[in-house]
Amino acid sequence: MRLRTMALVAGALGIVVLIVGLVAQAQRPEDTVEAVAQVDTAVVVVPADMVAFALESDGRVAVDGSGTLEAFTARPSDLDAWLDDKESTYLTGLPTWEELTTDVAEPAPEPSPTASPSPSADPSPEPSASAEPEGEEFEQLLDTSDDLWRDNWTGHGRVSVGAAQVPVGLDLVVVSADGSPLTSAELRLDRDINDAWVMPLIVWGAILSAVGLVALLLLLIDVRPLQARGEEWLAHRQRIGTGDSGAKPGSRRARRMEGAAVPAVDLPDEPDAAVAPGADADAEAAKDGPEGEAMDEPDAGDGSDADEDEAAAGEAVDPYAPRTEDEEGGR
Amino acid sequence: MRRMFTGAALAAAGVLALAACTPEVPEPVTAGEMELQAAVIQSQADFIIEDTFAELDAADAALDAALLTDRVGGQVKATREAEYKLRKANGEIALTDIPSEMQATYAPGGDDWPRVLVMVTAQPEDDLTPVVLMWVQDSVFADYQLRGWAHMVPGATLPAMPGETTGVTALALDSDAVEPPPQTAIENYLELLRGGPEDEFAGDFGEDTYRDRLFAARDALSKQAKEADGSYVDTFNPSFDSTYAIATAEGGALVFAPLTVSSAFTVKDATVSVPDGDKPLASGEFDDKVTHTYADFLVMHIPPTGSEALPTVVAADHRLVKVSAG
Repeated sequence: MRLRTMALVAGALGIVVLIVGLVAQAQRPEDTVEAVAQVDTAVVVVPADMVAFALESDGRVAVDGSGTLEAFTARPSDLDAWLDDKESTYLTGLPTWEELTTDVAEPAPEPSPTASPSPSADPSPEPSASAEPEGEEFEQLLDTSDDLWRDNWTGHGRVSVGAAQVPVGLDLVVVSADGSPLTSAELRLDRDINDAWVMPLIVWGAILSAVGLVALLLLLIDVRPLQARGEEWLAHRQRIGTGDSGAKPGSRRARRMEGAAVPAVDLPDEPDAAVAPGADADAEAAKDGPEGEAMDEPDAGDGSDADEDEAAAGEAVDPYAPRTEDEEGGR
Repeated sequence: MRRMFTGAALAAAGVLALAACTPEVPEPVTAGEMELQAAVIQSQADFIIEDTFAELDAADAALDAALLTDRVGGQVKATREAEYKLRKANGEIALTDIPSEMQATYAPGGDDWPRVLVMVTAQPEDDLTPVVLMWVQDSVFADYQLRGWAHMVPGATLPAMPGETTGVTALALDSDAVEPPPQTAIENYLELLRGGPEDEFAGDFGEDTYRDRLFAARDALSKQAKEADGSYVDTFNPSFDSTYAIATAEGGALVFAPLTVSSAFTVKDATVSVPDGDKPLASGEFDDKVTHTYADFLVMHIPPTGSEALPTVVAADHRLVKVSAG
């Protein structure tokens, strides 16, 4: 009763553990996180510090836009000089796993020209009657020198660069070839989720639940008839209450209960003079094998010590071996 | 109701347990220092070489200096233009051979412009010395442009230079990092060229074949002019706006100075004649005076302060670009 109660408690606990484990398994965070930021400039800059940040998590930076996108690495000071007259979006940080922060840098103001009071009195002699252009015109940003770029990647609609591909200390910049604004920047990072406990939780929950289920079944099903039949069968096998007082003396059962008879070997003391030749004969016999001629064929003529030893030893080793009449008579 | 509450509690327990096991967002980090801090590393230098020689080869093939635009300019363009004129007049005349294979690159460091990129070519031919090439980048938006070259003076050696790990530091022309400062060294050397072998600055500079040839030519032409009751005068004009100095690894400096040399030959009561080979460069009606204009390029090594070595011209070329009557 006490064991069954404990099993039921364990089962209830197992169900709780199993549910928690399954919920945890279902809601388990991804090993890879992608933080996305919307951008609206033709240039996206990933500073060297941000590249190093991504590198620690084996990260990748991807930028989406239209048309051909070019990604370059450059020395930060060179890139700052190149960006001086351009509006650009800097990736600045990752405050949460899902949020990628950006900062838009405006181009440096150009030096003010002389304030010449030269209003044009004449209206334009050729008023433009043209309709709006079909496609929006953008400033080409890559028509200057390429000498400052160290590495280059090209993509169509999207360009993706692993942080490990960017040399340490260099900035990464992504530019749309046609000058059109880019649409989004994505930082993809790997992270180590501490989920090693989830599977053991599920396994142990399942085991405890099974134990509780068995206990519950035993509680609900009357197994006493089966138990009684089992006890009867056991008693029958053990002849309890049948008046059987044990095995009859000399019966096979009695011998079996006594255990196997172990033949006793009684080696006779051998005279010193006969030891060496007898040992030699034994050695020869051993070489010939147990079925060898020296053993099987009695040598009637030579009367050697080996034959005597063999006879003596044979008598001592095998008391049940068949004997000839001569041997019987000799005794 | 109780079952729902229990289920929600269990689910919440699972989520909370997971939330506790989600790692924190890594802290911001600071990037390490660049391994190669030079403004131009070898891959960039290779690109610049390839682009430069593509433009040069195209112009050479067409004998058209107008094709020298982004990558070749300055004194080099004027020199090549003169060579194209000579070659058009006489197909036997070869253009100056500039190997595109480099044996050394001196990459600029620092963050300012203009920047100077220097390379030393492989030896062009057995009887010619390697060529020192100088590219200049005026701004981040401009290409490195080849603006000067000069063959090394026989026997001269270039000093050790910082590699692309740090890049080469540019020196101002009045920098006191070396003695004499770069501009002073060039000015004194020009005084020596004007004054001749006996000039007071003769002992301030190491020997070089450039000035030896110049003095030898001057002696010969002066003698010819005297025989015609005329004169021969060399005029040297530096262009310090296009002169650059860079620091060497040992603490000295290399100075790259373009010069314009005008050699006026005057005779009395006679008419000068221009050799046939120079006529493609000639302009004007020649009477008693002819002026040969040369676009020269000097590379001078100024040893570090305290060194017993003297400033020495290690590379120089003397190239005729114009023959005029005035």
